[in-house]
Amino acid sequence: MQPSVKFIDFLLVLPMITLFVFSLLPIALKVFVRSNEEAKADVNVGISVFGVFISLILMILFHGRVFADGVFFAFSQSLVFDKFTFLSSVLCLVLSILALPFLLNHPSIRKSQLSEYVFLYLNSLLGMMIMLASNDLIMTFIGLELMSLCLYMMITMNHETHHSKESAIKYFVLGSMASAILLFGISFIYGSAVMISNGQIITNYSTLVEVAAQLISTDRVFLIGYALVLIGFGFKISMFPFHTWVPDVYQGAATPLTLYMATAVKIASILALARFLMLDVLNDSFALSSTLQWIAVLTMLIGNMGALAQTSMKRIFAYSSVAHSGYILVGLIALALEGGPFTANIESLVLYLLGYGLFSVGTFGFLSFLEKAFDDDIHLESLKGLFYRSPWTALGLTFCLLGLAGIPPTLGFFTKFYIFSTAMGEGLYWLVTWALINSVIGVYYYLKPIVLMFFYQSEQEIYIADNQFQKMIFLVVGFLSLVGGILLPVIL
Amino acid sequence: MLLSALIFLPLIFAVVIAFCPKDKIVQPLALIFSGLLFVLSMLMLFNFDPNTAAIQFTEKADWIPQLGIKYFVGIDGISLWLVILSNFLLPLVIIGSAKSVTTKIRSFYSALFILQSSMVGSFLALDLILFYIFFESSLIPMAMMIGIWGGDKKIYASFKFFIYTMLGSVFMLASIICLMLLNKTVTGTLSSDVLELYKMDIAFIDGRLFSTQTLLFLGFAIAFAIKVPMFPVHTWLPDAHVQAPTPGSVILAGVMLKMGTYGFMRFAIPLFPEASTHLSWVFSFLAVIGIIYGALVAMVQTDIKKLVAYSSVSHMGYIILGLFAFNEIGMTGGLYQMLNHGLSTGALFFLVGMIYDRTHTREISAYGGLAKILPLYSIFFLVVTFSSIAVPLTNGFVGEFYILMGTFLSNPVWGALAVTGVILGATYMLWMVKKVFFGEENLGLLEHKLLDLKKSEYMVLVPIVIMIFWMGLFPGHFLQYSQKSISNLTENLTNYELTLYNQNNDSNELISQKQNNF
Repeated sequence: MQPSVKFIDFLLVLPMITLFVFSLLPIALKVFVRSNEEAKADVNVGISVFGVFISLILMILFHGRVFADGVFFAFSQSLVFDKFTFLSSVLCLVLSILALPFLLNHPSIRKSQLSEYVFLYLNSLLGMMIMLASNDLIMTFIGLELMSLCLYMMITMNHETHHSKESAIKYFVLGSMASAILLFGISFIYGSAVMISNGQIITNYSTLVEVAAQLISTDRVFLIGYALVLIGFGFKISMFPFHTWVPDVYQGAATPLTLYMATAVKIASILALARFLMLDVLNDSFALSSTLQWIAVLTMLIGNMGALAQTSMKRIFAYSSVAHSGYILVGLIALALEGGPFTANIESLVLYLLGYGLFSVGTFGFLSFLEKAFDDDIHLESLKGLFYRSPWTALGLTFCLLGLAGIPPTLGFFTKFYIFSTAMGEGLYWLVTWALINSVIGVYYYLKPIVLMFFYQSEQEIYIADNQFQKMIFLVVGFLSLVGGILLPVIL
Repeated sequence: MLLSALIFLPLIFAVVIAFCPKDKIVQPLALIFSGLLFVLSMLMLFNFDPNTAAIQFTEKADWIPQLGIKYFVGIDGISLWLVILSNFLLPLVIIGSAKSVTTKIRSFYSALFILQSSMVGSFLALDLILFYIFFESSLIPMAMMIGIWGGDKKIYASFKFFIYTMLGSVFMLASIICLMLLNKTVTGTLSSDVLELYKMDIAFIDGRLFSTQTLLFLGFAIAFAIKVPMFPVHTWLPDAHVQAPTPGSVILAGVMLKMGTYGFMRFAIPLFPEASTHLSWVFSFLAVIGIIYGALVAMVQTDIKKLVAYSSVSHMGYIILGLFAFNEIGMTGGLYQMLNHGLSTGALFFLVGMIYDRTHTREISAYGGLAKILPLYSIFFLVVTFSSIAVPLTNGFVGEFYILMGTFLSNPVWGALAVTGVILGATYMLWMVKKVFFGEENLGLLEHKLLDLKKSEYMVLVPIVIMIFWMGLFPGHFLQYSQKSISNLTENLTNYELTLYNQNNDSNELISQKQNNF
């Protein structure tokens, strides 16, 4: 295939270029402007938020308006820009804007290193955007690696606690392993696709989708390759049995980074997996679809059961994130069963991820407030009587937790309802019933912090954020969780 | 607008109260607000047309069309009295809680109004998802009430209450989603409008547990059975009642439990007529067990509040029995008994709370000869007890009489068994009354300086007692409003439909004047 690069291609990737340019600014500032690094902390974060914001605006302008209808390919069909790319990129950018300010004033993040943090942050975001726009398994892999490598470095830069080293090594080793498996799977898929196309290498999704359904039922190699790619992604989205790193890494990493991992990174991986699942092979492979369903069943159960036993807040939220992967898998399976390039079911998935992302920003953001007062992990007990000392913070966290639990009238209920009703529409009755039962188990550990905040009294001082900006984000997220249901017609 | 006002004004009041600057004026303010709500509900009653089974005061608007969710509220003879009951009890609860709630007053009244909003909302909602939202959101304020202002084991009780009810309702949610999708295959649009869903025929195979309709019915039935609560899933109730503060218990017994029975009447039975008639023996059986078991357990209680709580299990069994008789008399009795139970058990919880505030004990053995010390209190207690054990001239008699008559008509065996519950009920209540109010005076009691009823306590009890006799002597005044709706339900069970009220069409029917039922 002849490589083709046109001018319009650069226009299409302008949001990505913006991100990269803005990621260089803090570094340049560090090199060229000699002044106290600590004083520049706010500037660095400000620049990066602005950069992501510009990128978001460009994304909405170009892909929401100019290129709204239709599918555009760029750089020899290696990138695709369609409605799915648009929705998922906007989601990740919005969540990153919300997550970035939490880097400020956190004890485990050195102010003098903030420019490096921001550089890596924006580049991992760039990796995400590449992954989400990829029309080619290789591009998906490159995006995924760019995202992950930046993340490995950011986690390792945290020197404060002894958990951080363990967490960084664990994440790096397991992550590289997963990437290797993913790459192995991709090579299997290409190998089997070459066989039926007279030696021509089929690399992009749009041509792969035409042969995938045929290959899955005839070619074992393709099936193995597909399964290996699923395993590689399974690690990133923490599905059972590849979830074991989640609690440790989430606990060891600095909380602002955990926040980033649990929201934007995870959501981007899920959406990239969604693109891969749109190859529409699940209908033709009973083995794959039933295995995925059982994995979803177990992911929900393990996540919820794991969270029940924990007392460290961070680990509770880590396990709850695993449980949510299970619910999301239900939506992914529904999506894959419906088939087709852009399906109606994607809307329910994106909405669910939006809700999940917002509430996670709330919960992990809350933890990063609290960590300024406690050096170590936030224990459940330390929430006692929070409502009577800091009512707004307590209410904000309550609505985020209720949203994660999916209790009406919070936004979480509507997103759950949407994703489960689309799954039922695909005939996954028992899976959905099981998911609903699991969400009741979830209610128990989401209620625990609420109970501690409201039903107990404690004299212990809790230091609540001095950063008004962070507090504002937190409260806005809590408020959105409460009234999101009413605003839903506007979003949809 | 009237119904929306009844649902959303309490929410606004809750916010106002939460930001009220002085703790002193919170309680009077709440009282004024609740009085306003009561006036509104009376306005609704006077404008209600009793000569039709149609839905009145409807308000309908699209909310989230992509998910098929509408904002659709309306009222008919079945929900009318429940809405009025909850608006009637609210001012009384606010008067009654002046004494028993002394800490975190603002949060308490806010929670009370949020609870009121969600309860009225669930009685008025005619869209399944809207109903589910109200049904579930009532859990949070109630759990807060138990957890913050409750007794020693409040945390346990509040958790148990929340998780138990939530577990039930997710099955309902699964059923609702299935139902909406089934409707979509027929009509092509996603909708949870209950009037549309009534029209749908759902596949039912007699005698097969796994036929679609039976499964969907069971999903609804589990949610409502836990809420009622029926026999095997009643265990959350005693804990919740005993640990809840007096106002919480009154609301819980008075209105919240009715959300379960109302759910059967409005949703489970008319949506799945074949399945519910087919499985009626299961529910009648469990109801009868509940009646007898609740009464027997109440007999061995040493704590007055727990005794009243178990009597609730027994009384709610009657309501279920009446509904599953599937005839007009039984259903009427069931509906009437909902109101009776709300009044009499609510009043019993008030009375128990009043004596607890004075002596700080609820042990039966700590009392004795109270009639001599507190004569007026004792009179009120006796009257309410009579209502609870269905002595003629009180409202309880009318309800139980209708229920038993309906049950004997449909299945004499259940009727015969249920009658024993009447005797057992009289036994445990009168036994408790005898121990507490008569016999020798307990010397321990004299240590407290016991004063008889205060003005505010009269203000709580007198309206209830008036209602007890009014409903006992002239049930027709109340039943004429519901009669059309109930006969519409029982006569057209398999092809049940509700129409929207239209002033012009229905005015012709005014000729068929109201008949007194008693």
